Amino acid sequence: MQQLQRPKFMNLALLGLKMSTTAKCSILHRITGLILFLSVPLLLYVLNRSLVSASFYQVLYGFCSSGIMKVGYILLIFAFIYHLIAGIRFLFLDFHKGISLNQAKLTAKIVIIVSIILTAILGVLIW
Amino acid sequence: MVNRPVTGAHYGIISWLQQRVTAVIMLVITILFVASIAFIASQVDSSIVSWQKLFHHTIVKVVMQLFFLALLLHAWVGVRDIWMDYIKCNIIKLGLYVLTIVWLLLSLMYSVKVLWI
Repeated sequence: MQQLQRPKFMNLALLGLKMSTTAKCSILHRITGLILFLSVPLLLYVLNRSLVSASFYQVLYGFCSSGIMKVGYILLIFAFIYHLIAGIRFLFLDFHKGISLNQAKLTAKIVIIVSIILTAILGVLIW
Repeated sequence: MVNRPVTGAHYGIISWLQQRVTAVIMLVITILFVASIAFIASQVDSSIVSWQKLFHHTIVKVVMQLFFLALLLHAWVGVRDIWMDYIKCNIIKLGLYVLTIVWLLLSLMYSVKVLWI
């Protein structure tokens, strides 16, 4: 079989590629997954400290009062919630529910809105 | 199938299913967990101690351990897909696979320590 040298399109979203809502939904799902994957040990460490010491509560409050840490865990909460909600959307797609283009675009929007709302609720509760 | 690269694609219905099943397992556990926390937080005398007491029950430890095992399998398929999609060189891809698995296994060991010891 001949190997044809076809011109390849260096497709990086970084190059300002126009993405549809569903495309953004999908790549954000992957990115949040990666973020969660990288933060598993950290979350386990936090869980460990919370179970081990009674004074950890104070430490946690002190830790999380700085602006950067607050932004950090809001981001983590968003990553988890978004990944979960978008994941449910993908499960529906696996069962062929919401396959048509219009439906898919709508559900993608719903995912983002619901995620932001839930993150806002949890963020406010924890702030 | 003889020259199939170890880091290849186009087979993997088991992995696909694994990812879905573990996702549902984690979803159910998440809902149960959030409900428990909400219940505890609504008690008048709740504190860090009531949170710690939650993890004294064996059923909680066992279910959370299941969560972390499901997380390992789920994250493995997800991150492997990322390497598979973007890394062309098989040797580097294999190296990243190994690093990913080690990262996840270490996390699993750590979760055992956190929950049981």
